[in-house]
Amino acid sequence: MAESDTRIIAVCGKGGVGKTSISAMLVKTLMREKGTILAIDADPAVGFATALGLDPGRTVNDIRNDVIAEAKKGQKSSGNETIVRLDYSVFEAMIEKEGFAFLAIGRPETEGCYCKVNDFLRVVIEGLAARFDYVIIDGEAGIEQINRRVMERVTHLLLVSDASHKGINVIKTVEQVADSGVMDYDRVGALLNRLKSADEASRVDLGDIELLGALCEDDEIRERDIEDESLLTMPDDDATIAELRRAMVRFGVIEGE
Amino acid sequence: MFAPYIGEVRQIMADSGLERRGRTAQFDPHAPSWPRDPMQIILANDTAIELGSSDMASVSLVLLTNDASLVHDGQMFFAGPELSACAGRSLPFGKIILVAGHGFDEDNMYKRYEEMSLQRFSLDLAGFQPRSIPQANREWSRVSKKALKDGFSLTVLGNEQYRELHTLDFVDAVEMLFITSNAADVNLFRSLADRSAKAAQALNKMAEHLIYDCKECDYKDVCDEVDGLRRMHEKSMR
Repeated sequence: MAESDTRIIAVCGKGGVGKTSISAMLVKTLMREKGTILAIDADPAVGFATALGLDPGRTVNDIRNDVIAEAKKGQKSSGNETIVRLDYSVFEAMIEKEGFAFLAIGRPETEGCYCKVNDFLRVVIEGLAARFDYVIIDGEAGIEQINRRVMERVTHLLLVSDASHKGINVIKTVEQVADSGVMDYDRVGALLNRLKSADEASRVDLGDIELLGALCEDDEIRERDIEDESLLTMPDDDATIAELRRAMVRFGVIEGE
Repeated sequence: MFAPYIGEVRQIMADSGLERRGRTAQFDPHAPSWPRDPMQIILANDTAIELGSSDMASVSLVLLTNDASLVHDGQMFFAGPELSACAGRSLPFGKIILVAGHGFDEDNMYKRYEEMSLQRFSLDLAGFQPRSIPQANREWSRVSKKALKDGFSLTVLGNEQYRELHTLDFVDAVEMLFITSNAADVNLFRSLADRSAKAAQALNKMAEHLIYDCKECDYKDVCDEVDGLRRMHEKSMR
């Protein structure tokens, strides 16, 4: 397979710091660039779908359960055939919208050990992702489940925190876990979110982690959260979107103007 | 091994009148190679034609024989409109590939079958994106707007598939049928597709030497139907 130059951004951080909102606004930001976008919801709560105004529909875990059910019924397939079949099903489960595509991973597996199916699914998701220009993965707090259920390598590890000590500790831990060999990545950086003012950023000690940008509380986001409205409807000139774009230029995800 | 199924294809073609409603073409050795793009993705917005999508009739199978007289090398049969006249449409899709080869035995049969079967999906033709459920002999393909504009057709697909299959040294003859006329025509081959998928699963099971007692095997009915399969299984157990 030819070398892929896909930029894969995994968004991680403590629960409640706004990872999903940032993931959705990243989709909106990247939609203004030239290129294809795959949004992957790796959080079992599937909030990313809601933030993008979608019904998550069929998930990768639904596909996994079907394959396991077929295997239990005794249907035999080779590994290659299983991968081809999973590729069909994952593509079919992908929701294609104007400007981006979306894939929900679903709830983690609960019964039995079917590592081979999980490995096959990861191969399929990695193969699919490599054909897009940008991939945004909204995960749970840590990166372990992204590594296990989505892909083993990302290009950009985007750590999101509010100004709280707890939030910052979580992203530092995520970075340490990644560096211990759990996740292979090219670049890491942090976004501070839900600040009362940009000055708050100067009071935060990120250690060695590069600060990419500081996002203040945004009434446009808050309003959409209350109304359960897609964040893709945010105004193009919104201050958060503009700061996010600058952060993505600093992070090397997109070119500066 | 699939010789009876190839006979059934001919019978269905004749009995249904499909043979008379279609047209044939021959592999063109002088046709330029279609460009390849191994990293493409064709999303809905870039798609001109969907073939055999999940809500449409779809049959895609490879039938293999060691009897070269059963396969008309280089012949392509088409039932349905030219793709160039179908922009913006979703069509039912039938793709049946008949292959004659040599040197098949109980040790290599499944591997060779799988190699040919999966080769259909690794052509990487620019603007043509096939996806498949081999276990159900279904195929869902997309033709991009650009490829259609550049002249992609089922004849191009047939030519490229023919070339690719002939790169395998055990392949002697390749014949292809493409059906896009309507769901009923595609579904004429559904029962055959289901049975040949089961035969392939039996081959796989045999290749892994999992079951030695025919009475206990889930694929006994397939072995009863496909003459060479039981002989091959018996030989593999010696």
